[in-house]
Amino acid sequence: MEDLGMTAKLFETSSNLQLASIWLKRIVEGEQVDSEGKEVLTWTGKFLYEVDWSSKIPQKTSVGGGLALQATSVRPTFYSSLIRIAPKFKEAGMKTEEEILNFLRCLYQNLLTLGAPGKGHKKLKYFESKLGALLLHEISESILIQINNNGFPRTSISLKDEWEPSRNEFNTVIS
Amino acid sequence: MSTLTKEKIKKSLNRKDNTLIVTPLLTESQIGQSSIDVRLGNQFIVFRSHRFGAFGPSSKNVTEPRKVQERQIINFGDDFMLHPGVLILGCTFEYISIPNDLECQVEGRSSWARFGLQVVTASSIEPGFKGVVTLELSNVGTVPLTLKPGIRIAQLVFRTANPPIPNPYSGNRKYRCPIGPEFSRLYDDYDWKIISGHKISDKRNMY
Amino acid sequence: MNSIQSFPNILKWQEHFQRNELRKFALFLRRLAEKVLLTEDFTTKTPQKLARLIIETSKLLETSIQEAPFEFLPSIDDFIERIAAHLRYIERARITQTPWSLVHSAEYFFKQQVGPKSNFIIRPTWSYNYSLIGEFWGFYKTVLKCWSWFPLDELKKKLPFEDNETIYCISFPRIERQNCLLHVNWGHELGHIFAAKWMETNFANMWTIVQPEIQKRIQDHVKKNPPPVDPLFKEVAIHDSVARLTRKTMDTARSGLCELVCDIIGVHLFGPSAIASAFEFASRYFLDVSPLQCHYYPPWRYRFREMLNYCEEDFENHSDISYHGSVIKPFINWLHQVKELTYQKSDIQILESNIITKEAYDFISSKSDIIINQVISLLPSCSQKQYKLHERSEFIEKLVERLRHGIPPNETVNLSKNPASLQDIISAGWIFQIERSSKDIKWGKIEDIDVLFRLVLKACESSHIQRIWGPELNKKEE
Repeated sequence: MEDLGMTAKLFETSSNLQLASIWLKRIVEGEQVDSEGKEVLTWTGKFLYEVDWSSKIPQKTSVGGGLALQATSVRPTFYSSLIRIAPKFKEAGMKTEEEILNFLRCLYQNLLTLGAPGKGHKKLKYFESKLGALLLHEISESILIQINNNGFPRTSISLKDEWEPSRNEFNTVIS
Repeated sequence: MSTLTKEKIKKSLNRKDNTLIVTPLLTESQIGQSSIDVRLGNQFIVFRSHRFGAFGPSSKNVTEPRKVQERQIINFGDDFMLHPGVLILGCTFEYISIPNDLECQVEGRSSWARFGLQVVTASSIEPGFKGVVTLELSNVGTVPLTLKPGIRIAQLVFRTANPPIPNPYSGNRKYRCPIGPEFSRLYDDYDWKIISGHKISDKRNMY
Repeated sequence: MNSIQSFPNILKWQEHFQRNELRKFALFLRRLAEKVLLTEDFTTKTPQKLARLIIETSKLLETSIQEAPFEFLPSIDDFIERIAAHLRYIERARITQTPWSLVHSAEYFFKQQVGPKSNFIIRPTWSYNYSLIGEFWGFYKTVLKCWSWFPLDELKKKLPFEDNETIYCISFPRIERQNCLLHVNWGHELGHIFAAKWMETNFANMWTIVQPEIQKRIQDHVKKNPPPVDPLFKEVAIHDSVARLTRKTMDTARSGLCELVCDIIGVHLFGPSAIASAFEFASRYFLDVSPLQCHYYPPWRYRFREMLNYCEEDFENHSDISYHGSVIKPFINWLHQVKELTYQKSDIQILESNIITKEAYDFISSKSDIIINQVISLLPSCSQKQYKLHERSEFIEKLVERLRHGIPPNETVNLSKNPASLQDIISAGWIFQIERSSKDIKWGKIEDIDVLFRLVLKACESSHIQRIWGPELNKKEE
């Protein structure tokens, strides 16, 4: 059976991640989040907590079965996207796995609290928001390829076109 | 050989063995005083006259009927327009099975004939026939006729075959249990290809 | 075309270019759908409904693409590509391409099961497979709802069907168009609608309870067979491997469960004929292929075992059932032969040899009985009771008798007020075919099979028309 319901759900997930990616970029430019944006950002935060086994958030078991199932479906795409954009993490000065995982936890928390830092978390820097937006964009695109199966490479907004960090900026963040 | 009356038709329809089958009869009123009304089926064969010059046993003509005709199927409830001067093949909705002691004649209904619809069938239906009956329908009037599958289009008149035919409609027949109008199978005639010049032997060429 | 110079940068120019291409794509799609709608004759109104949905969606996309954020252009492109491919379901549903005698009665039967708001396209496909695709309108709505810039409410107003209607497409192998007996496999396909309904509301909860344990066992397995070392990611690489295997296990369990439930629905609705048609379909394949090698389908031997168990009452020798001496006996013997094939457990060995299939099928075997009962409870009340051959045997024997005399098995006597049901007609067809081929070695030539198919098809058509028109016509007459 070609279950269009499942495909539609993945389309929905891809769209939400894409929208969250757009909102992350808008927030960093100082734009106010509207109600639609709030909804999509918190959904993405919750969803990524569920997807990423490294996030180690105790409350994550509280999500509904539907979201947990969707997370199981998207999880390999999530990890492969992470591995694919590894050079970008290096460029951003994150040299160890621990640093990357810390950044991810911080990203999810910021998404949940609509771009503001949550309790015990730091606010994302400009380039970190951009990097987070790129990751969401990558996962969103990979889901599209997953549902299409044809895997034609798409023209993607490259990090270089969007955001050219200076080495100094990274150094500041990492230190 | 006598025509069956309503009572005898009903008796033939209810026999345990050697039954006359007309199925499905949607209403009992289809059984008339000396005939059974039959309804129009939803399959038709029409001519593709724009695709050929002539049809017949000549090497210059198209000799394969399927090249000059095509099957059209419409839904029950939809219209089939029969324009003046046009001949089509239709079929009965009812599937019939004629026992070996009866033969059957297909006749048009006078109510339709008054509008120019002619229902012509090549010959009477032999004892032992099973299938839907192909109807050659032609509009000889001047106004287009709207035909709908399911309308009462023709009637079957039955006569006794005396004596009953021992092996009715058996052997290598051209049409076996058809459920739609059948294309002509003139090309199955043993002499068709010889006469049409498609299989002329060397010997004949010498003359 | 605008020159590059008129745009502030190359990205803006590219964006402009892509938008124009997508607009053109939507326009061509609309034109094509309009042409198909205007020029083709279809067996039912459903292909036209789907065509209208494509036309109206592409028309609104043509105008609204301008409003879409640039980042969404790839997903719009995906969506248009996908709905353009939906046109093939419409094109192939042309009246001449379908076993039209069967289509109306089949759709009537499907609607009885799924509900009056459901619509079905029945179309052939060149690949040798039966499938259910859907649900279309739900798919369009879910995707378009995510795009705030798309006027979904406007679309709903323009459609020739109500918001709560559903559209499905059931495919069958083109080469088997006339083989109405094989089309009993549609019962399995129909089962997918109920299986999907159950999956949507229950599978997640059931799976999330067992997943942590399964995940743990998979993790142990991965630790014993670790993935290649990644220079940066160690934990992530392990997570990646475990995530892949867990998803595969879930997909195997989900798909396997779905197929098995659908098999049972097929048997529930059509009786042992469903096994006969599945067996004919599967006869060209190996019986013991791992689900991982064939799109997550369970091995055929496993499927037959489950199907036969479900209708055991119909062919096991219970004291109150006797087909002895009847025309049904050879069919019952044939079912016993199929059962013998399932005594061998080579399929189970294959499933247990791999951690993914082992975990998935342990889950399936522990839950399938409960799940099947729950899915059957989703059927309408008229179909809650299983179709049992032994309860219908007397009537079916009379239908088989008609087939023997070259008469369609749509009723048992002339002027009957009770036309045979689709299930009875199909059962009679299967029983006749197996009886004839077991008794007469010469029977089974292509002409014999053709005649059988024609008679069964005609019976399906006649009984359907009689059921729909008969009561009304007779009422008028009275």
